[in-house]
Amino acid sequence: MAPGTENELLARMRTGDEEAFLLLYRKLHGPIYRFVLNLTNSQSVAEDVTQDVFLALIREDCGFDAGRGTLSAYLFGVARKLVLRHLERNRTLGEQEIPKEEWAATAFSVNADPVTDLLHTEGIEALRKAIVSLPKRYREVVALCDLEEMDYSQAATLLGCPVGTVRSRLHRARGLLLEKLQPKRDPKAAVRGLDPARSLT
Amino acid sequence: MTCREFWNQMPELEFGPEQPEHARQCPACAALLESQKALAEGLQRLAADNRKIAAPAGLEARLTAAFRNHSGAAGSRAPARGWWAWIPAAAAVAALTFLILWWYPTRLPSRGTEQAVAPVVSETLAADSGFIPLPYAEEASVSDDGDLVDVELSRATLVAWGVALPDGDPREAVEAEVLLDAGGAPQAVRLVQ
Repeated sequence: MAPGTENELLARMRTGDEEAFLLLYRKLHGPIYRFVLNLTNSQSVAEDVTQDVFLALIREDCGFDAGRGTLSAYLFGVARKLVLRHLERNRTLGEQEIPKEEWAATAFSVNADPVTDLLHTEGIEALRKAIVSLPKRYREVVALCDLEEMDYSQAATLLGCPVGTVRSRLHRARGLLLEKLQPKRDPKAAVRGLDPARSLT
Repeated sequence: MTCREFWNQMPELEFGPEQPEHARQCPACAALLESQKALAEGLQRLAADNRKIAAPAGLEARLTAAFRNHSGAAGSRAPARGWWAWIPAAAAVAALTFLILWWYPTRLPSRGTEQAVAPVVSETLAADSGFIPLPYAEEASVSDDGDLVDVELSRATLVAWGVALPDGDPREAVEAEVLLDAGGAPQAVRLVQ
């Protein structure tokens, strides 16, 4: 495998070097595919968007400017735009991709103790669904910073917002995730557990 | 320390092994801290699981094909970038032209058999396929073990070979097919319709 930075590989690719294209694809497609998957919870959309991102790269007029950022960030940006377009087209599913009934079942499947539950497969699956059910501005920061482990400044560049906004969205997103993962407390059930002589509620 | 002060100084999703002093005294903050630790661990597990996910293998194959198509198409649109790709074709045409020019002046006068041979070839080829036999050609047909090559020849050459063409610039290139025998010698020619 020939070594090379992303920009060197891109330059070789522009001369028709297929190996350079494959090296770039193998290096960059995974994070982009997963990013789209985490935003849409759809493998077919993730595949389509990843394909469109690299088809755009193949075109020489793709618009990438090395002076404005890394190729990786550029491709993430293209993927994000395509996802937003997809979500816009499917607005009814965009903010709430999981039907409410399914989400309710998911929430009930989480134990009262989130510490133990998030260490199990069911808890991880519930967390994945909780992320997908977040509003998209929160979903994308979790997908970038928590799941792809991108640093805040890179995420801010990609999202076109200040680092502070990324930080505050992440804080809010994590709060929402905890709310979604913790089952709703039923005050009546709690009172019944105390076996009261008389209940006022 | 108040609860607000505690959370203000708590780094986001970064937890030490020991429970902070405030959390030991405040059950509400302790519970929230445990929840946040669980979330951090869950996110880390999810990120680790995530790294195992890759796009379907078929995607790479499709994109590679698209890349090849694009590279090929770009070459035909902008031959200046890929001009070397035309070298073999140009060499073949040059060799064929040389061969034709070498055979034509040397064989025709020396053998002096065109009057005898050409009508035979003409009858076979012209009837079958519209080929016009070259004056020095042996009897041949399209089905022989020869090759058929596409060439561009000057109008003057074609007229000299007996191809009927309307008047025009004698240097103008005209597309034609040349039938070669098994040894590579041109046998007949016809215009590409």
